[in-house]
Amino acid sequence: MTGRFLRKSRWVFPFLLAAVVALAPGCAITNGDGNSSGGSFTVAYVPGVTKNPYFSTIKRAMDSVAEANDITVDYQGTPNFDPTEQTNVLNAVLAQKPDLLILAPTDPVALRAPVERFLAADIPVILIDGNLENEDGIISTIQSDQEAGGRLAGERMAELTDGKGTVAVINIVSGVPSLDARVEGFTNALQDAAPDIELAPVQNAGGNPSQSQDTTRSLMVAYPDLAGVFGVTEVNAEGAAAAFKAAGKDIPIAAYDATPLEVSYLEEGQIDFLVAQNAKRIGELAMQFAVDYLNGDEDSVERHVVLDTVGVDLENIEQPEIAEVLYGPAIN
Amino acid sequence: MTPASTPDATQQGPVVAESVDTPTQTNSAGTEASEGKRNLGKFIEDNGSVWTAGVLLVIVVGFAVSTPNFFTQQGWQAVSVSATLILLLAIGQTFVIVSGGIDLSVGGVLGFAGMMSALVMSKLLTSGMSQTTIMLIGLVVALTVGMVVGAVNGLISTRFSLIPFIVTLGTLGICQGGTQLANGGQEISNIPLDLLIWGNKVILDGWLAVPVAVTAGVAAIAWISLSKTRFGRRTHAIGSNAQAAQRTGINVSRHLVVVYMVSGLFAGLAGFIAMAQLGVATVTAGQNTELAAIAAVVIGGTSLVGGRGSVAGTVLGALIVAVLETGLVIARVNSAWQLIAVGAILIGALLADQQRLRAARTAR
Repeated sequence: MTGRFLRKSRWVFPFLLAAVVALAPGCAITNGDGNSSGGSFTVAYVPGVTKNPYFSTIKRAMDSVAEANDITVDYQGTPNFDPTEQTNVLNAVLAQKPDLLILAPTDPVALRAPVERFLAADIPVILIDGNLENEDGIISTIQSDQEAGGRLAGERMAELTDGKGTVAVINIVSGVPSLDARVEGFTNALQDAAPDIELAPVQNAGGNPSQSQDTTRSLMVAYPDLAGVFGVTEVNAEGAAAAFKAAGKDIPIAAYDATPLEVSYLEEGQIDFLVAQNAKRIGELAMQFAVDYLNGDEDSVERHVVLDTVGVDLENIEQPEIAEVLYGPAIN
Repeated sequence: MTPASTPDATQQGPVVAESVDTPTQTNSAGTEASEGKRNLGKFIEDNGSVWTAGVLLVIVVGFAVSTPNFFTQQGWQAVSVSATLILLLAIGQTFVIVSGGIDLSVGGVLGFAGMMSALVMSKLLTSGMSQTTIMLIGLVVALTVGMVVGAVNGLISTRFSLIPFIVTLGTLGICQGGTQLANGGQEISNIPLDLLIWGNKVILDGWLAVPVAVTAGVAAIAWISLSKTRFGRRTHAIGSNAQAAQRTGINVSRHLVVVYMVSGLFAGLAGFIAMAQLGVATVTAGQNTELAAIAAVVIGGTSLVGGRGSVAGTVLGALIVAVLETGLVIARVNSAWQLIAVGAILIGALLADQQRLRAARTAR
């Protein structure tokens, strides 16, 4: 009896599966994970990557401004920092015809083509966290001063190392302008403040903390006088901190970003200095400009905003203005 | 018991009826039903793609009904363009899987071919050659790089009898490293401007993107090659039973080298198109695309053990994945559901494929 049922239903099963998957969106929209609903305008937000504390903190800040102004936020992205994947997401977002796009571009050249399609469809675009080589038609860009942030870290590293030994820089991949700016700022400031320090060649460890962990272990072997490590992103910092912790070494780490994990490493003493970007302010400004523009108040939209980064260490972490710039947890 | 497979026995009805009365009457009715079932089974086995097409249709209709803005020109653009790179990789992969192997290096080849092509083109930009000539040279470079890596894959796995899974995993890493070294880890954006224009050009009043047209044309050629030519038949034969194929006189090693070169060729073309669409050869191009390509092939009905498969199925499989992913974004659904949806469809496709085979076999 069951046998015959199963035999008959084998044809139907894949169709049923397909139908359920296709119709599920209808149900999912009402749950709206991460997408607030209701509202007169829709603003699409496409981050560099999903599941990331920095971009998620920006989103939460956007959400609070959006809710106060009756705006729906549509949050779509990819888990990989990849221009092709981001382009595919943008093409799909374009089909929904949002009223405005806030984009954190993953490449200064490659993302111009999809952005142009939005501009051609009369959808205004705001850029955050990265620049495009060609920014014609963009209504606003909001960036952190990456070079200054790197310099902050470099100056602190000179103090932490007493100006002696070898310092290593761990990055995820070379060629990303905002990351390269951090490295440059760090290197220049460190060499100015501590000319006797040896700088090891920059390590490109990849996007996974465990890769940075492996790289740090190798660095400890390659440089017995390793006196400090600069983590260009939170991924690198988290990996380096884990490696030092496992080896029982207390080598100073200066790192970019202030994710919950980095903050706990700071409190444990593994990381000595964090350069926090003002993610909350970036999100608030971006959404505020969006609101102003959509309501016809174009004069209130600033064309170029560059925000300062904030140095965080054990001395100032308790202060309320510092707590403002620490990142919240990642959302999907 | 007997009727389904021995219709002759029931036709001798009068003779048999004396000893088995009632069963004969039920048997004749049962025979017609099983006859019909047999025909349906054979039809579906011969036309497995019909099945996949049906699933695609259900998904498309489902989204069209539940998601505003999906069934629009831009929705089609988003689906078709996002399908091109994975489909190109999947077509090459179909040849390899049908022959009984697998090619994990395709994502690495995509990136490496794109980077080498851009490297050559950027050097030629100051040479005074026309943009069109430079672009053609770039295309040739990308295809050649792909074929060379494919040849390496084929030669190493056949000469040394190594499992393709491991060999291509190795060349994947080598290509990824090569992509980083080619320009010191930096991306190359110094390529002919016309290439970016062509990569994003849309013809037919906004309905057909040039990369989609190219992919469609190439897919048609591949379909003819795999299903209608001697090369395609031999590929199937080798995948079914390599030793038997060898005994019929097919030079299996040489054929396999060519098959891997075909896969590399498609990956090289994908690398060129990816670069054209972005206007820059990036260091991370093609990363993580291998599994998506294999998923498209399997969803399309090609068997992973070899000997059975079609390019038509792969096209449908890639479209199913593209429609799912794009549709879910347009429907403003959390991106985690895309992963779940594709995984579910993959399992469903494997199940359906298995049942289809079983039905066809028992219906005989």
